Amino acid sequence: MAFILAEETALKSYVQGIKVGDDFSPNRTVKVWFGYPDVEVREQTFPYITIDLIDVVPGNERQTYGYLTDTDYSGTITPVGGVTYTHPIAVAYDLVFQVTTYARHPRHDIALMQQLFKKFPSKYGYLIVPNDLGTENSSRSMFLDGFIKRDTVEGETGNRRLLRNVFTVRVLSEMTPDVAAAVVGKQVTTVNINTTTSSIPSTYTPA
Amino acid sequence: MQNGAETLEQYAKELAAELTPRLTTDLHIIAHQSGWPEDLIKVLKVDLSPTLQLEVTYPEENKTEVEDMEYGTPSQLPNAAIRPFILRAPKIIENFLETRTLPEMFVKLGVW
Repeated sequence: MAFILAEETALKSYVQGIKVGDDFSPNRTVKVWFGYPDVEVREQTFPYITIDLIDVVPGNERQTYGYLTDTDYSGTITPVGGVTYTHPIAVAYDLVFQVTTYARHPRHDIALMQQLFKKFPSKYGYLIVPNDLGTENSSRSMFLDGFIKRDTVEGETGNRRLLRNVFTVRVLSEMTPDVAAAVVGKQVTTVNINTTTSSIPSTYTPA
Repeated sequence: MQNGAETLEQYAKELAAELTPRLTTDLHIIAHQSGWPEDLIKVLKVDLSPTLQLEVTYPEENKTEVEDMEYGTPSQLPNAAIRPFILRAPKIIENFLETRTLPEMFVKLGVW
């Protein structure tokens, strides 16, 4: 699977399967969504978890240059006997995800926190991501960059408490050579200049 | 006469006075690109804390609005700006220190 999609899918699989308990149900499965489940599209059953990609940052500090030679083009082409591929080293990126938990019940909230802190330790965390062919996995370093509680008790939640935990998780990634090469191979041929600017940050406008 | 640590602390404060407005502008640009409303962008600032840590600050009365934009709400997806800024800030600071201040710092501390 392609860069970003592979990590998103791996992260969802990693988070999926969490169970919480209460007086009525000892094993309540927690659903996981990409983005907030729209009430008109999907049924909102508490508790649940959402995953949002919030940033993509070039990993310049760990970028290396050079060429690799292998038989499966960095896991994207099925190997054929006697054929080898030489390709540039992949482009390093950091993918930053927001993992948010939503619960109505305090016991669910605490159980979700406890399980997610185990899954996302601040050190030594890793995410297993399969390659395109499904023949190999790579273990990507994963960091908990931040945590904040965002509980609400009234107003937008209709005077019902909503217990939210926000985890900011950074996963190290890389863009495979064929994708990077396709971008590098393209040249800018025209540049359109907008002569009527309508969106200038306030700090750049004269006082 | 000031010792080396006091000179360095004083110099760090002088640098911060020059650096924080630049960082604030960078933060505003990222917030603008993330679709934050202009009136909320204006309240964001990068300041130097009493312990000489750079931090993003905003008035207490804007806390909910800022955090709603940053982390999302039950009906709105996150439009992160502060976290992307924090990830990029070290590089901005590094460039500033490399090109502008390291030679000055060495001169002030009597290294050169």
